[in-house]
Amino acid sequence: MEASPLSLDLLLEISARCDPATVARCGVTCKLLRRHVTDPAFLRRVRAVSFSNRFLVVLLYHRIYISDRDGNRITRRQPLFAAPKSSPSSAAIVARLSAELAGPSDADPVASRGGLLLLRSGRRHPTSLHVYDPVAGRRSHVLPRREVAGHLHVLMPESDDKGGGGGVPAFKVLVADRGLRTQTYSSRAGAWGPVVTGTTAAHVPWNYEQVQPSQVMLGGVAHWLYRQGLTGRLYSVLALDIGTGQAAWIEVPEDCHRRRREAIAGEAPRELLLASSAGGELALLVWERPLAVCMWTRTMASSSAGRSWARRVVIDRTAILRSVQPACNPLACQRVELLWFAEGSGTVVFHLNAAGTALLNPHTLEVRHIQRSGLEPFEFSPFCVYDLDLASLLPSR
Amino acid sequence: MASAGSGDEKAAAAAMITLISSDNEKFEVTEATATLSQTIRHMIEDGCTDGGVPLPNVTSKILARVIEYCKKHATAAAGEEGSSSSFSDAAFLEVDRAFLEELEEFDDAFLEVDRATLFDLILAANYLDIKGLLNLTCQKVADSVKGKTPEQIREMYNIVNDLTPEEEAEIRRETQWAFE
Repeated sequence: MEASPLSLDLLLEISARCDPATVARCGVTCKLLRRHVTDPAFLRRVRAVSFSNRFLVVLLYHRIYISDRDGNRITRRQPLFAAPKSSPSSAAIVARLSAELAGPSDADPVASRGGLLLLRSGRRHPTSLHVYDPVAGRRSHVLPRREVAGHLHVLMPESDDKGGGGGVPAFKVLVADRGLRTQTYSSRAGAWGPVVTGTTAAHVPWNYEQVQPSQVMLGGVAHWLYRQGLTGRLYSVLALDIGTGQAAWIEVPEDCHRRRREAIAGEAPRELLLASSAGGELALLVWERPLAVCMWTRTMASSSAGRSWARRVVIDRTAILRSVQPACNPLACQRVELLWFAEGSGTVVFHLNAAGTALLNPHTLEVRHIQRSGLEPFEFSPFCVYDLDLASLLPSR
Repeated sequence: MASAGSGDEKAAAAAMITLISSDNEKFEVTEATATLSQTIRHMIEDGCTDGGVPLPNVTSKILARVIEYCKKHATAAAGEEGSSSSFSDAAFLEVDRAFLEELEEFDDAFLEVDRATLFDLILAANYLDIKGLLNLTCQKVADSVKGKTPEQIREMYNIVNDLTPEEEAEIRRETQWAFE
């Protein structure tokens, strides 16, 4: 080590500014660096420095059915992804995800968390579920038959210890049907728990439509956004306690979206997206008139009036257009669809018409344009976002 | 840091300091430029700069570059009431955009040096405790390490591999995703 012109402190000063894959490679250079790049304090520095540049975000598309002159066929769009800038090593993970979806199981991705992906095979109940770990790339963990139909899916990695069976880290999977009966699978037990019926008599009314399958987990409670009625102007948030199976509805005041851009009749109302703020509050992103994305956050109860919602502008169209090059006159870029909130990285996936698919980090305001708009049948096919914190893969001593 | 007296500082702005490199070359700089270095700032505060500040760890070639950096960045800090010499986020907000862009261009051009010089600049920035320069130069090296194999990283830093082949294979297995 003494041969190096730079002291250990300075080598670490440099390494802390590297992306996670490079940090991992520095750990294979010699014993001294190995010891220091696995130090928890050093890893905290890496995470702080590469705050928004350590996540792999992958959009995994569902199968779609196409009828054209070649006849009817089932196809699927290739994943779109954004890796940390100039990081060399995410392609293999994306390739494995892609191969898993191209496999013979005809599965669609339905939920993801902590580097694991939950896939559902079959179109009608009883569907079958399996969990895949694209980092390790081993055989996926197939879940046994269950009683509850899968309206909602929550995947919860338990901890970083291995040995959940099937070569995948330990996890739990919760499914809920529209009656909000829940059932939870534990990979440690290798079995589904009992069916839990919430005592609050909450259910998802027949005319409630999920806006996006994207979910927000806060303190053990999972949240989804619903629209009341197919043409309704009212929205509600379903809050489901993962531990107890109890559910409740949170009303979204109309103030929050009075100024929103309204969807063209008959189209999916994707001008609202459930998210969480940097401070860990439930938040609602709204595509507002004239042209801005705003965030409403649900503040903690400060008085007997209970919780209230507060608004702030996140980003306007001009700022988005600085990073997103439209295929035509920017004036045509009038409509944004908010598609997904990836919780790990805090990334918002949106589609800007005449421009394509882009990622927004609401905390850094960084926008990344990942796919140009094309006249593809895939443009609005459903997908699931897999986001992986590469820094979480760095070994710690 | 930010609480350093602004009134006194202004009065002393014209005061000159002499820096002496390891090869005995003398550099006259304003106190505003010199105090971008926390090390020199402390020496000034302690009143031990009479007769020049010897910097036995810094050659004249590197010191000239460091002073070039400090002069440019001291101008940026000059407009700031009572700001510290280091660049705080708040300071950034108030400096006008065009100047920030110019500063960025300066930094980019400043970093166009060979690796040995870059390492020397890091050592000097560390010794003189110039946060902005240390950050800039370390980030430049970090960017150039990206995508390199462990063998290339060893060569770059001049590190001797003391891991046994078994240990190395074990670590690679643990972080296989980083090598694909």
